[in-house]
Amino acid sequence: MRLLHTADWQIGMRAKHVGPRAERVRAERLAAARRAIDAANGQAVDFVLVAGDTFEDNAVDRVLVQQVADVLAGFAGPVYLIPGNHDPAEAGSVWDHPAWAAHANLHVLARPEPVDVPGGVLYPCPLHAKHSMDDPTRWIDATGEARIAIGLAHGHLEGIPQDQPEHPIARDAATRAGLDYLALGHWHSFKQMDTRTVYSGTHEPTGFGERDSGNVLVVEIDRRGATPRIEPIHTGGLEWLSWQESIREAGELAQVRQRIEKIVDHERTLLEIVLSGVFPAADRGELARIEELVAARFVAGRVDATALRLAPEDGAWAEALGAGPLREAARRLAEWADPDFAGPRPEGATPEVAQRARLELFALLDEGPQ
Amino acid sequence: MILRAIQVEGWRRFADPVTVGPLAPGVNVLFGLNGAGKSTLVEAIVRGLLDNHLTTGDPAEALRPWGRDLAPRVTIEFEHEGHRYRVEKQFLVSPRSELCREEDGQFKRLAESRGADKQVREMLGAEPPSRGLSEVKHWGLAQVLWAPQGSLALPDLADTSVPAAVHAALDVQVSDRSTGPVHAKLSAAYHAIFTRKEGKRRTGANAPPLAGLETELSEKCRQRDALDAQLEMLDAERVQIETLGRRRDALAREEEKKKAELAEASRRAGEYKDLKSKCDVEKAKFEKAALQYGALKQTVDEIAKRREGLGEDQKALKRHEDAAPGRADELWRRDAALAEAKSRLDALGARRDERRKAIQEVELAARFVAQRKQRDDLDRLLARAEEAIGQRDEHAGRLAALAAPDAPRFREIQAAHARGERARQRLDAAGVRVVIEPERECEIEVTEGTPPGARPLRPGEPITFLGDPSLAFRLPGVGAFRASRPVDASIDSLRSELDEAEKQFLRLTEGLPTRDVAALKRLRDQADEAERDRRDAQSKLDGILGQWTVEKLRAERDEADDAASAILIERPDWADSPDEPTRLAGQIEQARAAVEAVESELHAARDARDQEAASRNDAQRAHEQHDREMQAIRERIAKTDRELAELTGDVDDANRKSDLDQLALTWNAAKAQSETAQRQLEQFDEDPAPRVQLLSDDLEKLRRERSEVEQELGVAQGSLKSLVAAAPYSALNPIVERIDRLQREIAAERLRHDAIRLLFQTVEQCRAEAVESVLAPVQCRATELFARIAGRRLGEVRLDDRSLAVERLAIDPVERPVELNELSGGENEQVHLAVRLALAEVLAQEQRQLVVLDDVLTATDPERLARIREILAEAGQRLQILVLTCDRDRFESVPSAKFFDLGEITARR
Repeated sequence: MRLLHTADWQIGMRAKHVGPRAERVRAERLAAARRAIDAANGQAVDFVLVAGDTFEDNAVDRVLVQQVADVLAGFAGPVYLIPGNHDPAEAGSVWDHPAWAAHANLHVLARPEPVDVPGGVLYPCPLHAKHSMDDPTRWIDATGEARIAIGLAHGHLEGIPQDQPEHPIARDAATRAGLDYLALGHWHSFKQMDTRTVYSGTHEPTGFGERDSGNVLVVEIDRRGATPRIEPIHTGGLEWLSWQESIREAGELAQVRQRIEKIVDHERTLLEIVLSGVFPAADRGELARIEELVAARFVAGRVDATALRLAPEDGAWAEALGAGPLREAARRLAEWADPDFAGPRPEGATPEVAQRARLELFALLDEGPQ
Repeated sequence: MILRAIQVEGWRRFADPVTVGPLAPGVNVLFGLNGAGKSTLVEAIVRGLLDNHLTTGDPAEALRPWGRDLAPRVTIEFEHEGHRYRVEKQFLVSPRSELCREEDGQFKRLAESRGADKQVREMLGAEPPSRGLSEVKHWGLAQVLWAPQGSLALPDLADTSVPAAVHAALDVQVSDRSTGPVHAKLSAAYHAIFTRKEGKRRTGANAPPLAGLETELSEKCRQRDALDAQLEMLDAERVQIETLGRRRDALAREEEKKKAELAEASRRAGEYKDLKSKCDVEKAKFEKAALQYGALKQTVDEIAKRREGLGEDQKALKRHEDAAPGRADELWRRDAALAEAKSRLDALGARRDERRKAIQEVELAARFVAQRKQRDDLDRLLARAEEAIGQRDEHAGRLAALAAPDAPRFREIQAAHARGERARQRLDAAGVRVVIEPERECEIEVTEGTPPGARPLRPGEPITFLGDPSLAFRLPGVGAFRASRPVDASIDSLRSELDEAEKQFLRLTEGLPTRDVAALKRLRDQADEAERDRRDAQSKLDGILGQWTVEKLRAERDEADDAASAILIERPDWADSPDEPTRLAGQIEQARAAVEAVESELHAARDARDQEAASRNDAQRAHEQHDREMQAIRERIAKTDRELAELTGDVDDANRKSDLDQLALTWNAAKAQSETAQRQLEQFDEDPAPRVQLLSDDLEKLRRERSEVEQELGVAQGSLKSLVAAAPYSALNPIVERIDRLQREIAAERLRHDAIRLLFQTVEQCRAEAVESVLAPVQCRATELFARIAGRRLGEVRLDDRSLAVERLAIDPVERPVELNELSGGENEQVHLAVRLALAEVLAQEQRQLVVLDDVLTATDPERLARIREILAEAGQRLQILVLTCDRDRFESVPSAKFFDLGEITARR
């Protein structure tokens, strides 16, 4: 038995952290879906399993439903889908759409009952609500089954840390139920919990900070009781990079800028840089340059410099002002920019505002007389 | 700016051109007598430097020399920021303005008309007046530098640009010149975001981009909320659909259960209905048998009852028939008693009539006696009255025979007589009266007077002669005599009064038997006596008659006589025996008593008759009642006979009893059947039919409810379909994404705004502190100057930072400050001079400035004025000072001062 295990396509996903490139990110998820089906056809699997959360929400545009159904219908064999917690089988759900019935190879499994699949039996665990504390796999009992038994579920496997676990699945669900393979969805990164219990992860990364996402799994099981062989196939289209940079010395901002410039595939890259530490006033131009590069070059980018401050000991530029109101103002702002400053502050003179005010003053001086 | 020269022409008292100059860069003293034109020159400087040359109207017209139609014209040469300028202005006639700058030793035109006006004003920081000529408040820096005539106190500068100019001038000293542009950019950046006055974020067309971002964010949030609401509705619809679905299924199950209950209840209801029907049939049979038995039993009982009643009636009839003869006898006796009572009543009636007739006779006699007595009484009264009438008429006739005037007329006669006598006496007294009592006989001839003519005089016969107004007579042999009274007009009136009195007397005594008043008096007295007698007779008559008259008495008397005569016609015998009526009249009481006795008996007899009549009627009614009762009994007997015949018919009593026994048996059998059916029916607790109806209703209700739920479900599904079709989640994506971006942009922009505001406010604060630190030396300089003028330290001069006004003099920390109004007039002008000079020194940091002092320091004593002269001489090293005074000596000793004698200049012209 060869099957393709995928999940969490999250079609119609919201991408508010990528600014005006959100449509591009959404379109990339559908493109990745096509690559997944291409992989299924290319790998000559017997069938495809989609382990929930095909859609981000049941209220997504119906055009997307039709598009996804058409993409899935492109597979030569049967495709089995279960509703997940983002698209549960409820009234008015995406699964009511006529597109599913229009394609003979698409099987939306909305009831927890065994289904014969090529080479074995499939035990689907559809979800009917966004929130639930029931184990969707509890009903499965394949211990007496002679054929290869595959479970298809969506939920949170016990033992993985999460604040509010939804749809919990017992850690030993596959063993207890007598399954040869439990295809899971919910977690966006590829994770093999044991030899038979596997999260495929999302086929396309959904945000910064995900590890090992953007894959589908080709699973091969020789016979009932045999250990599955799992092969991840990369289908992701976008690269989500997130850098945390601590600046301490003069010139380090220039180094960061140089690393950014070295990224070649910026047409497929989203970049987030969080800067912290202190920098000399003279490096302010590098900071501005970094911001420009990130904003202009990549699919989406963001520079968070709220934790980056002008070096407090760097007062040379202020000293150059000579005695007078401006130098006195620069001195006071430097005091207020220090979070540890214990003296009186005028209204609104938070360290962040004072820090920004210093930068503004520096910029005015740097521009020179005009 | 400093002045070099000024030329005026056609300007108030300067009809011809007058030039003052060249002025020294230091102290200049322009002196002249009052009216020489010193203040006119100051005015020309002001108009030439600050006013629009096109100004018209009364204030501009006032610039012309009085009575001349000239064009006021002023030309001023001055230096400003290292250049030499000349401005020429002509007002009212062919007005023009021209500003020239000296270049290469020649004045070349720089601007003209309004442009020239404006450029010169800007050099002094002055503002154009809205209309007419400028006032002090428009003078700009000159408000500080130029003191108008007699006024050293600074005007209110709070709302002018002067404090800012002073601060700016001071700021130059505390700021590095290289930071000026930085501050300007900061100010521009700040004011691009915040308003100048209130420091609030700008709105409207000049609002920073943040406002647009916030507006867009607000709109996007509104859109997001609307779509969130749609999503919530979608969730709510799903919940509703699930709820309705569960409800529909529950109702369907309930419906099936109800149907089963209804079938069972319907079966039991049919069984109950059959039993009930059987029960009703048996009951009907039972009731029919009971009715038949009851009817026959009732007939038997009725026959017995009728027979018993018939026996009773027959006995009663027998009793009535036996009592009938006694009742007839009783009626006869009552009739006899009644006849006897009536007879007695009739007899008493006859006796009463007799008695009544007797009393009529007595009463007639009494009336006759009374009438006759009345006639006699009236005859006597009439006799007395007629006697009194005769006496009265006799006295009246005597009175009439006297022909005396009545009393009022006699009083008028007496009055007329007296008036005539008084007039005569007064006339006699008014005329000439001569009484001659001759002693011998002689003759007298009256030639004028009365009696006229000659008449003899005899001894012992005095004679009186009268004359009016004169009396003239002659006594032959003796001589002629004339006596005259004084001419007096009252004689005529006295005579007229006398004539009048006499005429009235004659008229009043007309027809009287005499005109002798005494005789008339006697007649009058006799008449009064006759009148008294007549009145006495009348009083006597009135006493007799009282309210009556003689005629009425006579009529009354005749009536009584007629009445007596009429009775006599009825009883002529009484004419022959006049005592008989009197006797009869004396019996009237007895006759009345007899009539009353008979009346009493008659009343008793009438009562007895009525009682007998009532008894007889009672007997009659009892008799008739008895007859009616007998008749009724007879009729009842006949009726009972008929009823018995109907009740018995052809059946005899034995057969009837046999039938009754048979019916009793049938009734008992039907009763047993009915009770058996009833017991079977009572096996049911209640009639199942209502429960069947109830269950049917419930089932129908369930069906309706399920139908409604399905209808609601359909609606909810339709609504859900519409909501899903709108794809609110997908629609929400770009909005939420835009909101997130906007929020980040807004946060960044707000941080930038806050930073610029903090930076700007911090720099402003530092600047203000710096300015404050510099204003202090100005106060120190003014304090120092004032101390020098006064010759001792009087206190520290304190200025208001905003208006530059002198606030007070701080004498000492331990004493209270001295207000300006507490200073003397001289000290007041001295402290303001000190302030003006201190400020002028500040404003002259960049270039020398002109200070004008027009006729000031008039209250300053010579000692202090000497010190001021020294100060002015020192100030002249940094300032151009133009002093205008009428007393050259006051400033004579100012070192290096240049003096201009306006009188001489004018004369030289």
